[in-house]
Amino acid sequence: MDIDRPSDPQVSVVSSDGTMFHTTLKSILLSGTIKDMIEHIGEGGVENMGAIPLQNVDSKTLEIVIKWIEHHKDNIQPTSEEIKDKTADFIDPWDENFLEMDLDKLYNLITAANYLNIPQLLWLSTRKIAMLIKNRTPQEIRSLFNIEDDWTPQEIEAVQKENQWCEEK
Amino acid sequence: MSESKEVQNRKRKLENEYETEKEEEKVKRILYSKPELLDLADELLMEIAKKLDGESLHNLSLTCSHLKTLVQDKQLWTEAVFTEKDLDIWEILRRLKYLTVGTKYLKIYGDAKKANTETRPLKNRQTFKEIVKRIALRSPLIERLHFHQIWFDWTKDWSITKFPSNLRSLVFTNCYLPKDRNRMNKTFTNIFEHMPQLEELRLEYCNFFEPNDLMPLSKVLGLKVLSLRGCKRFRNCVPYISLSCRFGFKNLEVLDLRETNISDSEMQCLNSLKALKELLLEQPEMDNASDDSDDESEFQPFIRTNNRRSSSRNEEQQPSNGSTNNNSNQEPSSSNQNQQPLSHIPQPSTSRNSHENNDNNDFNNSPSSPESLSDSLPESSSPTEEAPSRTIFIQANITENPNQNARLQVIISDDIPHASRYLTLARNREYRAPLTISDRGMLAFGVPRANLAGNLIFLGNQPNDPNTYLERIVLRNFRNITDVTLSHLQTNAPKLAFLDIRGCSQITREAVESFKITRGSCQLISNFDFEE
Repeated sequence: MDIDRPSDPQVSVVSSDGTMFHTTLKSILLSGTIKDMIEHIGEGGVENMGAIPLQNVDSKTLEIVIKWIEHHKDNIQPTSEEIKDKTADFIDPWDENFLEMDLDKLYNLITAANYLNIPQLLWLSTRKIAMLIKNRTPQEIRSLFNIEDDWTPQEIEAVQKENQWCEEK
Repeated sequence: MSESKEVQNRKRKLENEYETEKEEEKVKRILYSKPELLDLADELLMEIAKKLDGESLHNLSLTCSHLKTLVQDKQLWTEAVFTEKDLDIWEILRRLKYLTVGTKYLKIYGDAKKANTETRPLKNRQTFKEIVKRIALRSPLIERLHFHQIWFDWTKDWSITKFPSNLRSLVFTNCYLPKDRNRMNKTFTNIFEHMPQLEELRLEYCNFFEPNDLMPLSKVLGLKVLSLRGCKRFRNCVPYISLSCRFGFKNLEVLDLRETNISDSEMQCLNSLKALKELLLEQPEMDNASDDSDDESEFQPFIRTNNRRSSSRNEEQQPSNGSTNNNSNQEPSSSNQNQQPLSHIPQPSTSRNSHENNDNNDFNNSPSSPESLSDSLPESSSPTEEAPSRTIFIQANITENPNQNARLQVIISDDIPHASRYLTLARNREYRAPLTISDRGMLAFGVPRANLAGNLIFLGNQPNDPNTYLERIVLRNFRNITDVTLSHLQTNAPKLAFLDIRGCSQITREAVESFKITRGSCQLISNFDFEE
């Protein structure tokens, strides 16, 4: 290891609409996708590496992602495959606050987290949607997420008819 | 002509322009419009769905056909949990459709409560049978089942063998047998053959547990956890529990008998459970018990059985007469002499029994008007004190001839001291539980030191090992548990790591402190921890 080398070099990423963002190697390594890329470049290549193009993430979303990875660069092991189980109730208040955003941004974030392979961010953002679905009636879910009711009358009838008699006493 | 051609060309050009504009709009809409939930890839929708419980998934599936298909994915249903609301039978059956071959766990909440016994849907049908049938059909390999508040209305031909046989854990909590149904006796017969893998069985706050169920349950070789918490019918079951503990329950590690009517006699059987590590006992709260109307119905069979036993004497001695209150004071001595052959050998005297001796109550009871009962305590000082049996006069409606107010006798010998509980109950219309555990019950674990044993007499062989190897004990709200128990556990329970004696009001601060000093590694929770 080169002692003189800065422990956390700068890295640039470019969004799909051409905006460039600067962040540090340590934070960007939280993304499994970029980690794989950098590993392929090999030792010593990081400093000379140009900006990393991210074709599938627009600038607004990338900004959010970078904010998140910079906050968490020290408390998450990039290699950890640990996904919290679905009953985990404790969420870092910072994350909870961070996820307060419009639904469309949240969808983009989910897609980006998936593309960039950031398991913890994917877990958090999908959980956020799940929490919105929880304890809501089908009608409420429809109006919240703009889902079109596409049942045909026949289907509705079929659902109502499916109740069968139980066996006699 | 040329002009019209020009016009046509222009027209075409315009149309083309319009077309391209339309296309662009479409592209623009796709590119810049706000994304919707359904625009997410199915893989990501699945990530969301994985974080939902069964009930939310069900609601999601009702929104549109795309999500319905998605929700039916079997990887979402390895654990099916429907606990968000109390479901009626129709809703339960609808939820069971999500079960798949891969489902390992089902937890479902029904709507069974005493209050809606009459209004439950399909009350003339065996709804529980239908539920079990469907589970066994859809998920024959299911490993854990938890029923909560389900109507236990499957009574005809009920058998545990209709359940899926791969179960490791079977839990019933607050399941309710409607009063108009009679449970089959052989409910759990053959459970040991049918569910060889069963490790955990909980029947908590269920009114369908009967003490004889202990026999088949004791044969389940792999059973590690048994909970009968809150089963009020766990009482007076020394025959069953002594046999089942001596010859069965070979691997039982955790036994939860909180809020049951366990007494010292049953406790003395538990010491033959060699594998037992955790024992949980708790005296039920008086407040909760008073609104338990179950006890009222349990009073009836007791009266009836005693009625049969002494009916011939009733005819001789007691002409049917509605108003015999005045005579009651003279009756006991004479009837007691008559009843001598029925009397039983009294048990060794203990603190509890001596307490019972004072409960020598003669009183009349009419179930229809409990307020008019009279209670003549002075009888306890009569010569009958030496006789082991007591005579109590009860004025009751006998079921055989309901028109007549016949008088019947109930003999309570010393070996069923609990009987006074029913009489107290009937008199006050309020539940009191004289059934409790005292030091005698706890000293049965291991052999107490001579100075602790007091007047305790061992009948038969003493256990070889003076120690008990229980690791965790919960003993809550027992007024008859004293420092004696604590002192015994201090020296004769080497593996004890946890002891909860909250609510045992007789235990003194000195005993607790002495225990803590000598047994530093054992966590002791007492009332004194919550003072100051």
